[in-house]
Amino acid sequence: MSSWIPLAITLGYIAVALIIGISARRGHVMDSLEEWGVAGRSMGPVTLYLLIAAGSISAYTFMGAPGWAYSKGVAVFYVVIYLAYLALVAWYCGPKVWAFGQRFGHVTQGAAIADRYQSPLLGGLAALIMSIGSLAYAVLQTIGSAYILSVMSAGRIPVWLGVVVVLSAIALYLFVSGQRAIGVTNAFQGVLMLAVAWAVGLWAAREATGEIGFAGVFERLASERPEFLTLPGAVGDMGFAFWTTSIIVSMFSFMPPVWSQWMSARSASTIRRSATWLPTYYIVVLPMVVVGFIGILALPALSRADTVALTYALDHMPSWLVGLLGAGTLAAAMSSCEPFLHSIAMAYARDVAQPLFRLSDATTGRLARRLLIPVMALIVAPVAITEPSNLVMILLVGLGFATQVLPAFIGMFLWTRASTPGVLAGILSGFCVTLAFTLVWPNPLGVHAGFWGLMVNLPLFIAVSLATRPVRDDVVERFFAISAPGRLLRASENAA
Amino acid sequence: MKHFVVHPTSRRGWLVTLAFALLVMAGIWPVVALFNRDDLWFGLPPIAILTYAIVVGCWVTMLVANRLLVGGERDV
Repeated sequence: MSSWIPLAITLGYIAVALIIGISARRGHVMDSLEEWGVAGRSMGPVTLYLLIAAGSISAYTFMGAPGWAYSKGVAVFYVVIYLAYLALVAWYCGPKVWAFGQRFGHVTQGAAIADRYQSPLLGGLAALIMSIGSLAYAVLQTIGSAYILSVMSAGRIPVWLGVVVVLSAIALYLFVSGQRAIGVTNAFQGVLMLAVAWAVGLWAAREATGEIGFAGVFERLASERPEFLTLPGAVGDMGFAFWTTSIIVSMFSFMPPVWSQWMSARSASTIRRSATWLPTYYIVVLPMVVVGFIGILALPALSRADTVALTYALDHMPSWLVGLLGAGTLAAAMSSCEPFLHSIAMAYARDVAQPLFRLSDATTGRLARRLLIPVMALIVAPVAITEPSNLVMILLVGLGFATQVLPAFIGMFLWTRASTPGVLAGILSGFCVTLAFTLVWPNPLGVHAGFWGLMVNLPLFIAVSLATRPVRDDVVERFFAISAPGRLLRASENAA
Repeated sequence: MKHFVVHPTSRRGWLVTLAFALLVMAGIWPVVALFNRDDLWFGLPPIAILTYAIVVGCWVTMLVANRLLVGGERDV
């Protein structure tokens, strides 16, 4: 494509995101974690809905998902299912997390864990393990962003320069406005993505079948390539075991940015209202997946499946729509990347540096903002420029590690007896098993490595918890007065 | 203190918990195997229909749960 229009639209999108991100600060002083980290707990239901929705719709939706549809078929729909389940998790846990934050002053996930288990070590360890998944996710989105800029500029913007442009834009508005920037940019990106995905999907369907609707696409596939319409998919690697365990592992990944998003809400009921409507946003995935299915017949010899939507757009769509697809894909990548970068900086400052160096809250707040730059420049950018592995596998690895922190949350929401050594044993064993079954023997018996980790993690967590001293009563009572109001009172009466 | 596992304390709470559990079971094996067919339902693969049925189910269940569990009854 030689037209300058797609690149202009894509760069225009970055400029708009930059302007609204920077202006989100609106006179607020950002040197405290309460402001920079959780936007002064001020977000309303609509902003929160778009914040969480856009944050969960990543470059995967615009690149990886059409790529999976193109290479594997209907296996791609597992993503929509686990996203819907994450809304259930948000509905149940979100209001409780908000109440923990509001009453006990937590601004990070690690701080809540450290408080519940009276162990800064556990809070720091959980933060570090979560940061592996978060970094993997941020790298994934950055690669996607740089690739978009490269395609939209017909190769004139190399990947390294795309990485620098995108991370610089994010760094600027994130440094200036923190979580408030994430809120307004995600709201803008969320609306843009929904419009672009449906415009591209319907245009592609009309181009491929002559009708505005998806039935014709699947009718052709059913008659010519039916293997794409069932599991284990066209390449046979997504059996029921991997489908099921991928969904379970993904839905129990309490990623740190989601935690910060919940704590940014104006009230507990704000989260419940947003979570209730969250599944409605995931219709955004369907049209992009259809583009991948169209590609199976229209572009049979693609060397890289992730590129199917963009390649199809470049071949069959007008340049303004290609530009909008570029902007939409970039919006998806940036809206997911920025919350992760933000939460990594907060976690390193609040959960690792503060207890280690006994920093004051004010110093920790300033440090979190300033840590953004080295995290981007020294970790995310170099790794993204080397473009490691397959996009989706990075996502799965990240979620697999994040799931291993599950015992810490069980002890926060469901089980009063969870002890510090029990959680520590569970996390460490789950982490080691996931690592081995990711790198040495990937996904044995077609079961997700993170699920194998959980199968060792959870029994060990329970056994060690029962065999060791529980956390102090006053701490447990403080948490479960929120997690199980009324129940705690009855338990105390029975004990008396 | 007497330790416990959190569970619903009202009939409505149990109903919502049951609905959540059924929704999760609907998306994984063995239910997904029932939809693993290469014919089309309403122009879409059955697994796609199942997927969006779950999406709508989650949305409707939470809407209903918000009405069922008010104030102190939010205990699922």
